[in-house]
Amino acid sequence: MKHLFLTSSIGTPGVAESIRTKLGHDRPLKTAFLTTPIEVEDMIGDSWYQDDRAALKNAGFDFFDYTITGKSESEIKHDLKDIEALYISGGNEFYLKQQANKNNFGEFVKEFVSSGKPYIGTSCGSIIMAPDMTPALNITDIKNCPEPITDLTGFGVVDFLPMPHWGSSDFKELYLGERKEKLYGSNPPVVLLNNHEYIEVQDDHYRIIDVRREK
Amino acid sequence: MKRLYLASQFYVVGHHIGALISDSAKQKTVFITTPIKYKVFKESDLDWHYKNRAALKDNGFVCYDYDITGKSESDLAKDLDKYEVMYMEGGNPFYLMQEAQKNNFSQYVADRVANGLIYVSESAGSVASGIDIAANSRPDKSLQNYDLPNSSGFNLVNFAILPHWGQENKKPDYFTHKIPQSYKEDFPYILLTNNQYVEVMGDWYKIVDVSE
Repeated sequence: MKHLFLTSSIGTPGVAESIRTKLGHDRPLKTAFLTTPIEVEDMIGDSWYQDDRAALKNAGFDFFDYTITGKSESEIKHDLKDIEALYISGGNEFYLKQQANKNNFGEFVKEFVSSGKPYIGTSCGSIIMAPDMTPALNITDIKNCPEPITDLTGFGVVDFLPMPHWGSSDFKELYLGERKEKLYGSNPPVVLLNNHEYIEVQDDHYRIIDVRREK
Repeated sequence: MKRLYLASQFYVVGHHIGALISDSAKQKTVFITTPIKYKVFKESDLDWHYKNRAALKDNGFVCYDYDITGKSESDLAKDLDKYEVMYMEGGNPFYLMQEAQKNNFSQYVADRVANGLIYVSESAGSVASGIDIAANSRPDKSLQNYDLPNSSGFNLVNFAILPHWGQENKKPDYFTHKIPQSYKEDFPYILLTNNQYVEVMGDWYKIVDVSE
Protein backbone atom coordinates (compact mmCIF):
# COMPACT_ATOMS: atom_id res chain seq x y z
CA MET A 1 0.00 0.00 0.00
CA LYS A 2 1.30 3.43 -0.95
CA HIS A 3 1.68 5.63 2.11
CA LEU A 4 2.87 9.19 1.61
CA PHE A 5 2.85 12.31 3.71
CA LEU A 6 3.15 15.46 1.65
CA THR A 7 3.73 18.44 3.86
CA SER A 8 4.17 22.12 3.31
CA SER A 9 6.43 22.50 6.35
CA ILE A 10 7.37 19.50 8.51
CA GLY A 11 8.89 21.90 11.03
CA THR A 12 5.57 23.57 11.82
CA PRO A 13 4.62 22.48 15.36
CA GLY A 14 2.41 19.41 15.32
CA VAL A 15 3.03 18.25 11.75
CA ALA A 16 5.81 15.71 12.31
CA GLU A 17 4.14 14.39 15.47
CA SER A 18 0.84 13.98 13.64
CA ILE A 19 2.49 12.05 10.82
CA ARG A 20 4.23 9.83 13.33
CA THR A 21 0.92 8.85 14.95
CA LYS A 22 -0.37 7.73 11.52
CA LEU A 23 2.37 5.10 11.32
CA GLY A 24 0.93 3.08 14.18
CA HIS A 25 4.08 2.57 16.26
CA ASP A 26 6.71 4.66 17.96
CA ARG A 27 9.96 2.77 17.46
CA PRO A 28 12.72 4.81 15.76
CA LEU A 29 12.59 4.59 11.97
CA LYS A 30 15.78 4.47 9.98
CA THR A 31 15.27 7.33 7.55
CA ALA A 32 17.24 8.81 4.68
CA PHE A 33 17.06 12.62 4.71
CA LEU A 34 17.59 13.70 1.13
CA THR A 35 19.61 16.90 1.14
CA THR A 36 19.96 17.19 -2.64
CA PRO A 37 17.25 19.89 -3.07
CA ILE A 38 19.12 22.29 -0.81
CA GLU A 39 22.58 21.86 -2.38
CA VAL A 40 22.13 24.81 -4.69
CA GLU A 41 20.20 26.94 -2.22
CA ASP A 42 21.95 29.05 0.39
CA MET A 43 19.55 27.94 3.09
CA ILE A 44 21.25 25.44 5.37
CA GLY A 45 21.48 28.01 8.16
CA ASP A 46 17.85 29.05 7.73
CA SER A 47 15.60 28.48 10.70
CA TRP A 48 13.02 26.53 8.65
CA TYR A 49 15.65 23.95 7.67
CA GLN A 50 16.86 23.53 11.22
CA ASP A 51 13.27 23.38 12.48
CA ASP A 52 12.46 20.65 9.93
CA ARG A 53 15.41 18.56 11.05
CA ALA A 54 14.62 18.98 14.75
CA ALA A 55 10.95 18.11 14.20
CA LEU A 56 11.78 14.93 12.31
CA LYS A 57 14.30 13.86 14.92
CA ASN A 58 11.93 14.55 17.81
CA ALA A 59 9.20 12.53 16.10
CA GLY A 60 11.46 9.46 16.01
CA PHE A 61 12.74 9.58 12.46
CA ASP A 62 16.29 8.38 13.00
CA PHE A 63 17.77 10.00 9.93
CA PHE A 64 21.07 10.28 8.15
CA ASP A 65 21.81 12.86 5.45
CA TYR A 66 22.09 11.61 1.91
CA THR A 67 22.50 13.15 -1.52
CA ILE A 68 21.94 11.50 -4.88
CA THR A 69 24.22 13.99 -6.63
CA GLY A 70 27.04 12.17 -8.37
CA LYS A 71 25.75 8.73 -7.36
CA SER A 72 25.01 5.91 -9.77
CA GLU A 73 21.74 4.00 -9.77
CA SER A 74 23.39 0.97 -8.16
CA GLU A 75 25.10 3.09 -5.51
CA ILE A 76 21.76 4.60 -4.51
CA LYS A 77 20.14 1.17 -4.30
CA HIS A 78 23.00 -0.08 -2.19
CA ASP A 79 23.18 2.94 0.09
CA LEU A 80 19.44 3.09 0.75
CA LYS A 81 18.65 -0.62 0.87
CA ASP A 82 17.98 -0.71 4.61
CA ILE A 83 15.97 2.46 5.09
CA GLU A 84 12.50 2.28 6.58
CA ALA A 85 11.39 5.77 5.56
CA LEU A 86 12.45 8.31 2.93
CA TYR A 87 12.31 12.06 3.49
CA ILE A 88 12.90 14.65 0.79
CA SER A 89 13.68 18.10 2.06
CA GLY A 90 12.57 21.50 0.90
CA GLY A 91 14.75 23.27 -1.64
CA ASN A 92 14.89 23.29 -5.42
CA GLU A 93 12.70 20.62 -7.05
CA PHE A 94 13.99 21.36 -10.54
CA TYR A 95 17.60 20.82 -9.47
CA LEU A 96 16.54 17.62 -7.72
CA LYS A 97 14.88 16.42 -10.94
CA GLN A 98 18.02 17.18 -12.92
CA GLN A 99 20.09 15.06 -10.57
CA ALA A 100 17.45 12.32 -10.50
CA ASN A 101 17.45 12.13 -14.30
CA LYS A 102 21.11 11.16 -14.19
CA ASN A 103 20.67 8.08 -11.99
CA ASN A 104 17.03 7.07 -12.38
CA PHE A 105 16.23 8.15 -8.82
CA GLY A 106 12.58 8.76 -9.77
CA GLU A 107 12.18 5.03 -10.40
CA PHE A 108 13.85 4.28 -7.07
CA VAL A 109 11.30 6.51 -5.33
CA LYS A 110 8.39 4.85 -7.16
CA GLU A 111 9.60 1.39 -6.17
CA PHE A 112 10.22 2.52 -2.60
CA VAL A 113 6.69 3.92 -2.34
CA SER A 114 5.19 0.79 -3.95
CA SER A 115 6.86 -1.33 -1.28
CA GLY A 116 4.59 0.34 1.28
CA LYS A 117 7.33 2.08 3.25
CA PRO A 118 6.47 5.64 4.26
CA TYR A 119 7.55 8.59 2.16
CA ILE A 120 7.59 12.07 3.66
CA GLY A 121 8.13 15.24 1.68
CA THR A 122 8.32 18.89 2.56
CA SER A 123 7.69 21.65 0.04
CA CYS A 124 10.02 20.60 -2.81
CA GLY A 125 9.75 17.02 -1.53
CA SER A 126 5.96 17.23 -1.96
CA ILE A 127 5.95 19.05 -5.31
CA ILE A 128 8.38 16.53 -6.86
CA MET A 129 5.81 13.73 -6.44
CA ALA A 130 3.41 15.45 -8.89
CA PRO A 131 3.20 14.55 -12.58
CA ASP A 132 3.93 18.15 -13.60
CA MET A 133 5.63 20.94 -11.63
CA THR A 134 5.27 23.80 -14.12
CA PRO A 135 3.37 26.19 -11.81
CA ALA A 136 6.11 25.88 -9.18
CA LEU A 137 8.87 27.22 -11.42
CA ASN A 138 10.11 30.66 -10.45
CA ILE A 139 13.02 32.93 -11.16
CA THR A 140 15.02 31.79 -8.11
CA ASP A 141 14.85 28.15 -9.21
CA ILE A 142 16.17 29.12 -12.62
CA LYS A 143 18.93 31.30 -11.17
CA ASN A 144 20.10 28.65 -8.72
CA CYS A 145 20.15 25.70 -11.12
CA PRO A 146 23.64 25.25 -12.59
CA GLU A 147 22.13 23.70 -15.72
CA PRO A 148 19.25 25.11 -17.79
CA ILE A 149 15.86 23.79 -16.65
CA THR A 150 14.29 21.79 -19.47
CA ASP A 151 12.34 19.15 -17.54
CA LEU A 152 9.27 20.39 -15.67
CA THR A 153 7.86 16.95 -14.86
CA GLY A 154 7.91 15.45 -11.39
CA PHE A 155 8.20 11.80 -10.38
CA GLY A 156 4.48 11.28 -11.01
CA VAL A 157 3.91 9.22 -7.87
CA VAL A 158 0.63 11.07 -7.25
CA ASP A 159 -1.73 12.51 -9.87
CA PHE A 160 -2.14 15.97 -8.38
CA LEU A 161 0.13 18.91 -7.61
CA PRO A 162 0.50 19.93 -3.95
CA MET A 163 1.41 23.62 -3.78
CA PRO A 164 2.92 24.45 -0.37
CA HIS A 165 3.09 27.56 1.83
CA TRP A 166 -0.28 28.92 0.71
CA GLY A 167 -1.24 31.88 2.90
CA SER A 168 2.29 32.39 4.20
CA SER A 169 3.54 35.99 4.17
CA ASP A 170 6.91 34.83 2.80
CA PHE A 171 5.28 33.53 -0.38
CA LYS A 172 2.55 36.11 -0.85
CA GLU A 173 4.32 38.11 -3.52
CA LEU A 174 5.10 34.96 -5.49
CA TYR A 175 1.60 33.49 -5.30
CA LEU A 176 -0.24 36.72 -5.99
CA GLY A 177 2.26 37.61 -8.70
CA GLU A 178 3.68 35.32 -11.38
CA ARG A 179 2.54 32.05 -9.83
CA LYS A 180 -1.20 32.67 -10.06
CA GLU A 181 -1.01 32.92 -13.84
CA LYS A 182 0.82 29.56 -14.04
CA LEU A 183 -1.58 27.93 -11.60
CA TYR A 184 -4.60 29.15 -13.54
CA GLY A 185 -3.46 27.15 -16.54
CA SER A 186 -2.38 24.10 -14.55
CA ASN A 187 -3.12 20.69 -15.94
CA PRO A 188 -2.97 18.36 -12.95
CA PRO A 189 -5.42 19.12 -10.14
CA VAL A 190 -3.94 21.49 -7.58
CA VAL A 191 -4.20 21.34 -3.80
CA LEU A 192 -3.15 24.53 -2.02
CA LEU A 193 -1.59 23.61 1.32
CA ASN A 194 -0.74 25.94 4.15
CA ASN A 195 2.08 25.25 6.62
CA HIS A 196 -0.25 23.62 9.17
CA GLU A 197 -1.58 21.06 6.72
CA TYR A 198 -0.35 17.91 5.05
CA ILE A 199 -1.77 15.37 2.64
CA GLU A 200 -1.81 11.74 3.71
CA VAL A 201 -1.95 9.48 0.65
CA GLN A 202 -3.02 5.86 0.91
CA ASP A 203 -2.91 4.17 -2.46
CA ASP A 204 -5.09 6.25 -4.81
CA HIS A 205 -6.98 8.24 -2.21
CA TYR A 206 -5.85 10.95 0.13
CA ARG A 207 -6.98 13.30 2.83
CA ILE A 208 -5.81 16.66 4.04
CA ILE A 209 -4.98 16.97 7.71
CA ASP A 210 -4.84 20.34 9.45
CA VAL A 211 -2.90 19.67 12.65
CA ARG A 212 -4.61 22.61 14.36
CA ARG A 213 -7.94 20.86 13.99
CA GLU A 214 -6.85 17.37 15.01
CA LYS A 215 -8.23 16.22 18.31
CA MET B 1 -19.88 5.34 4.46
CA LYS B 2 -19.91 8.95 3.33
CA ARG B 3 -19.98 9.26 -0.49
CA LEU B 4 -19.80 12.52 -2.39
CA TYR B 5 -19.05 13.52 -5.97
CA LEU B 6 -18.20 17.19 -6.12
CA ALA B 7 -17.99 18.65 -9.61
CA SER B 8 -17.16 22.04 -11.00
CA GLN B 9 -19.38 21.64 -14.09
CA PHE B 10 -21.59 18.58 -13.76
CA TYR B 11 -22.47 18.07 -17.41
CA VAL B 12 -18.78 17.68 -18.29
CA VAL B 13 -18.14 14.89 -15.76
CA GLY B 14 -21.64 13.43 -15.30
CA HIS B 15 -20.91 10.33 -17.38
CA HIS B 16 -18.11 9.39 -14.97
CA ILE B 17 -20.14 10.02 -11.84
CA GLY B 18 -23.22 8.29 -13.24
CA ALA B 19 -21.22 5.12 -13.81
CA LEU B 20 -20.18 5.01 -10.13
CA ILE B 21 -23.68 5.03 -8.62
CA SER B 22 -26.13 2.13 -8.74
CA ASP B 23 -29.22 2.39 -10.92
CA SER B 24 -31.50 1.79 -7.97
CA ALA B 25 -29.99 4.73 -6.06
CA LYS B 26 -30.05 7.00 -9.12
CA GLN B 27 -33.76 6.38 -9.53
CA LYS B 28 -34.29 8.09 -6.19
CA THR B 29 -32.53 11.40 -6.80
CA VAL B 30 -33.69 14.72 -5.42
CA PHE B 31 -32.56 17.74 -7.43
CA ILE B 32 -32.19 20.68 -5.06
CA THR B 33 -33.05 23.78 -7.06
CA THR B 34 -32.49 26.31 -4.28
CA PRO B 35 -29.01 27.54 -5.37
CA ILE B 36 -30.48 28.74 -8.65
CA LYS B 37 -33.45 30.54 -7.07
CA TYR B 38 -31.51 33.57 -5.86
CA LYS B 39 -32.62 35.58 -8.86
CA VAL B 40 -34.77 35.29 -11.94
CA PHE B 41 -32.57 34.13 -14.78
CA LYS B 42 -33.11 34.94 -18.43
CA GLU B 43 -33.72 31.68 -20.28
CA SER B 44 -30.65 32.39 -22.40
CA ASP B 45 -28.47 32.36 -19.25
CA LEU B 46 -29.57 28.89 -18.21
CA ASP B 47 -27.82 26.85 -20.86
CA TRP B 48 -25.54 25.25 -18.24
CA HIS B 49 -28.52 24.34 -16.06
CA TYR B 50 -30.33 22.57 -18.89
CA LYS B 51 -27.15 20.77 -19.84
CA ASN B 52 -26.85 19.53 -16.25
CA ARG B 53 -30.43 18.27 -16.31
CA ALA B 54 -29.79 16.51 -19.62
CA ALA B 55 -26.57 14.95 -18.31
CA LEU B 56 -28.36 13.68 -15.21
CA LYS B 57 -31.10 12.12 -17.33
CA ASP B 58 -28.70 10.65 -19.89
CA ASN B 59 -26.72 8.99 -17.13
CA GLY B 60 -29.63 7.32 -15.41
CA PHE B 61 -30.59 9.77 -12.69
CA VAL B 62 -34.35 10.07 -12.20
CA CYS B 63 -34.72 13.45 -10.55
CA TYR B 64 -37.44 15.08 -8.49
CA ASP B 65 -37.09 18.83 -8.02
CA TYR B 66 -37.13 20.31 -4.55
CA ASP B 67 -36.64 23.81 -3.20
CA ILE B 68 -35.80 23.97 0.51
CA THR B 69 -36.98 27.58 0.82
CA GLY B 70 -40.06 27.94 3.00
CA LYS B 71 -39.91 24.36 4.27
CA SER B 72 -39.90 23.48 7.94
CA GLU B 73 -37.46 21.08 9.52
CA SER B 74 -40.15 18.41 9.69
CA ASP B 75 -41.07 19.03 6.03
CA LEU B 76 -37.47 18.27 5.10
CA ALA B 77 -37.52 14.89 6.80
CA LYS B 78 -40.98 14.06 5.44
CA ASP B 79 -40.14 15.10 1.88
CA LEU B 80 -36.51 14.01 1.55
CA ASP B 81 -36.00 10.89 3.63
CA LYS B 82 -37.03 8.65 0.72
CA TYR B 83 -34.21 9.79 -1.59
CA GLU B 84 -30.88 8.01 -1.91
CA VAL B 85 -29.06 10.63 -4.01
CA MET B 86 -29.09 14.39 -3.55
CA TYR B 87 -28.01 16.53 -6.48
CA MET B 88 -27.15 20.09 -5.45
CA GLU B 89 -27.22 22.44 -8.41
CA GLY B 90 -24.86 25.34 -9.07
CA GLY B 91 -25.94 28.93 -8.52
CA ASN B 92 -25.28 30.93 -5.41
CA PRO B 93 -23.76 29.29 -2.32
CA PHE B 94 -24.49 32.29 -0.09
CA TYR B 95 -28.20 32.20 -0.90
CA LEU B 96 -28.23 28.42 -0.43
CA MET B 97 -26.58 28.66 3.00
CA GLN B 98 -28.95 31.46 4.02
CA GLU B 99 -31.97 29.31 3.18
CA ALA B 100 -30.35 26.21 4.71
CA GLN B 101 -29.91 27.92 8.06
CA LYS B 102 -33.57 28.91 8.33
CA ASN B 103 -34.81 25.32 8.58
CA ASN B 104 -31.71 23.48 9.76
CA PHE B 105 -31.20 21.91 6.34
CA SER B 106 -27.44 22.10 7.04
CA GLN B 107 -27.82 19.63 9.86
CA TYR B 108 -30.28 17.50 7.87
CA VAL B 109 -27.89 17.10 4.95
CA ALA B 110 -24.90 16.45 7.24
CA ASP B 111 -26.79 13.70 9.10
CA ARG B 112 -28.09 12.11 5.90
CA VAL B 113 -24.68 12.14 4.20
CA ALA B 114 -23.08 10.61 7.31
CA ASN B 115 -25.66 7.83 6.99
CA GLY B 116 -25.14 7.07 3.32
CA LEU B 117 -27.07 9.62 1.24
CA ILE B 118 -24.94 10.16 -1.88
CA TYR B 119 -24.27 13.86 -2.42
CA VAL B 120 -23.63 14.96 -6.01
CA SER B 121 -23.07 18.58 -6.87
CA GLU B 122 -21.61 21.21 -9.09
CA SER B 123 -20.17 24.66 -8.54
CA ALA B 124 -22.15 26.36 -5.74
CA GLY B 125 -23.37 22.95 -4.58
CA SER B 126 -19.76 21.79 -4.28
CA VAL B 127 -18.67 25.03 -2.61
CA ALA B 128 -21.49 24.63 -0.05
CA SER B 129 -20.40 21.07 0.77
CA GLY B 130 -17.11 22.41 2.09
CA ILE B 131 -15.73 23.80 5.27
CA ASP B 132 -16.24 27.45 4.30
CA ILE B 133 -17.70 29.43 1.40
CA ALA B 134 -16.05 32.85 1.85
CA ALA B 135 -13.27 32.20 -0.68
CA ASN B 136 -15.91 32.25 -3.41
CA SER B 137 -17.13 35.76 -2.57
CA ARG B 138 -17.26 38.56 -5.05
CA PRO B 139 -18.75 42.01 -4.57
CA ASP B 140 -22.35 41.08 -5.42
CA LYS B 141 -22.23 37.55 -3.96
CA SER B 142 -20.82 37.60 -0.45
CA LEU B 143 -21.65 37.26 3.21
CA GLN B 144 -22.64 40.93 3.35
CA ASN B 145 -25.38 40.45 0.77
CA TYR B 146 -27.14 37.69 2.71
CA ASP B 147 -28.50 37.04 6.14
CA LEU B 148 -25.80 34.71 7.38
CA PRO B 149 -24.10 34.56 10.79
CA ASN B 150 -20.89 33.12 9.36
CA SER B 151 -19.37 31.70 6.19
CA SER B 152 -19.48 28.00 7.13
CA GLY B 153 -20.50 25.49 4.51
CA PHE B 154 -22.23 22.19 5.24
CA ASN B 155 -18.88 20.83 6.48
CA LEU B 156 -19.40 17.55 4.64
CA VAL B 157 -15.71 17.73 3.71
CA ASN B 158 -12.81 19.50 5.38
CA PHE B 159 -11.61 21.53 2.39
CA ALA B 160 -12.86 24.43 0.28
CA ILE B 161 -13.38 24.09 -3.47
CA LEU B 162 -12.64 26.85 -5.94
CA PRO B 163 -14.67 25.75 -9.01
CA HIS B 164 -14.31 26.65 -12.69
CA TRP B 165 -10.57 27.02 -12.16
CA GLY B 166 -8.82 27.92 -15.43
CA GLN B 167 -12.04 29.01 -17.17
CA GLU B 168 -11.19 32.14 -19.15
CA ASN B 169 -14.34 34.12 -18.36
CA LYS B 170 -13.88 33.51 -14.61
CA LYS B 171 -10.31 34.79 -14.63
CA PRO B 172 -11.09 38.43 -13.72
CA ASP B 173 -13.13 37.25 -10.70
CA TYR B 174 -10.32 34.97 -9.60
CA PHE B 175 -7.48 37.41 -10.10
CA THR B 176 -9.27 40.41 -8.61
CA HIS B 177 -11.19 38.79 -5.78
CA LYS B 178 -11.01 35.08 -5.14
CA ILE B 179 -7.25 34.45 -5.15
CA PRO B 180 -6.27 37.49 -3.06
CA GLN B 181 -9.08 37.01 -0.54
CA SER B 182 -8.37 33.31 -0.05
CA TYR B 183 -4.63 33.78 0.44
CA LYS B 184 -4.85 32.81 4.10
CA GLU B 185 -3.66 29.99 6.30
CA ASP B 186 -7.21 28.99 7.09
CA PHE B 187 -8.35 25.98 5.05
CA PRO B 188 -7.06 23.58 2.41
CA TYR B 189 -8.16 24.73 -1.04
CA ILE B 190 -8.77 22.50 -4.03
CA LEU B 191 -8.63 24.24 -7.40
CA LEU B 192 -11.15 22.38 -9.55
CA THR B 193 -11.35 22.73 -13.33
CA ASN B 194 -14.49 21.89 -15.28
CA ASN B 195 -12.94 18.56 -16.31
CA GLN B 196 -12.44 17.46 -12.72
CA TYR B 197 -14.50 16.27 -9.78
CA VAL B 198 -13.67 15.19 -6.24
CA GLU B 199 -14.68 11.68 -5.23
CA VAL B 200 -15.12 11.37 -1.47
CA MET B 201 -15.30 7.94 0.19
CA GLY B 202 -15.53 8.23 3.95
CA ASP B 203 -12.66 10.43 5.11
CA TRP B 204 -10.66 9.85 1.91
CA TYR B 205 -10.86 11.53 -1.45
CA LYS B 206 -9.27 11.90 -4.82
CA ILE B 207 -9.58 14.37 -7.65
CA VAL B 208 -10.52 12.75 -10.93
CA ASP B 209 -9.78 14.43 -14.26
CA VAL B 210 -12.06 13.07 -17.00
CA SER B 211 -9.91 14.51 -19.79
CA GLU B 212 -7.06 12.10 -19.00
